Amino acid sequence: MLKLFLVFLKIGACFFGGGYAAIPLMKSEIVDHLGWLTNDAFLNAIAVGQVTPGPVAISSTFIGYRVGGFGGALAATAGMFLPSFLIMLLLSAFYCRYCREQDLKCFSRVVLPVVIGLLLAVILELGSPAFPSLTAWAIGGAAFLLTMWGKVDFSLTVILSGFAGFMMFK
Amino acid sequence: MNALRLALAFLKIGILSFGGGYAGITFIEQEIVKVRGWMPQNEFIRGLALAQLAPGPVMTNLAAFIGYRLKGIPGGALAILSLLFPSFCLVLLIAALFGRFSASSSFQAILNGVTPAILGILAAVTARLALAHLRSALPILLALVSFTLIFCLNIHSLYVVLGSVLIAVVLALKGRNNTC
Repeated sequence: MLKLFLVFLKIGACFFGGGYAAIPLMKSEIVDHLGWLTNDAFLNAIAVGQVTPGPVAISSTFIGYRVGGFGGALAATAGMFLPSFLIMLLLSAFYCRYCREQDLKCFSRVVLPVVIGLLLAVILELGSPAFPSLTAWAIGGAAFLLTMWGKVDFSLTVILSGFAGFMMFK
Repeated sequence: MNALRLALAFLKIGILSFGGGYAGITFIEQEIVKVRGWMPQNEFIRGLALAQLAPGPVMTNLAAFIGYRLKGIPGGALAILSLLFPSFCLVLLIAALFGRFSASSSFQAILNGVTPAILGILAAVTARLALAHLRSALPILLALVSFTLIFCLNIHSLYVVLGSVLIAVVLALKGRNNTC
């Protein structure tokens, strides 16, 4: 339980550039490094984070529950959100007196591209076993198109894909 | 505005902000700035900039900022807890159901549909970020380097992210007078 809290504390303190940046870090720690979840179980956790309202990082609650029950869920969630909360309070208190617009631009010009590279790597790593059939490719492609150009809500896309899976694979 | 109304506002946001990310941010702006008028637009924009700078999801960071500006540290805690509470409960419920139904073949069929869709969504999110931010040589190079470090050399992604933060800080400090 303490381990869960500490692992997520580490992740929570280190993911910069928005909620999606947490996905590569969680995968590195939980799947590759600690072996707590398989690729598939990890993807399920991301799916749950997508289908529920709120930030995608709430997947940490699901992972915590799978690893350590209710207490694990609490520990993982607390670890995930505590560092950013404390840092945010600090920044708000000083109201970023010393930051300038330009520094922020500098930050997003360096950190965001790195996050994009990470996301690309994680998609390829998770993706190879997730597409066993042409049907799976069709569903994945449709989800890509819906999100990219259809402006369809993520949770609706996940629900539709679950329905498609039920019809096709059952 | 009292603590109860602050909590209720963020509970509402927590329940209705499907999709997270930018949809959620727009929704917070709508509720706090436009409907309730608790914060002027320019202060909200300033908060959004800070929320993007800090680690963690932009949505919860923004909630912490708004709560803090309105009611101090307890306000910040209240806002973030209210925002997360509905999805926390929902995720717990789904996690418990997962254990019960994981053996059923219908449930497996549903998951077989959801898994490729999640990757499709992630690919689209990444493509959108790339279109918005990879517009010159330096960002493209950085993305390629981070991809290679993770995918080919199996470097732990924590180190890659922290390395990039370090580079950003150094560049920001060095480039005080010119653009980075």
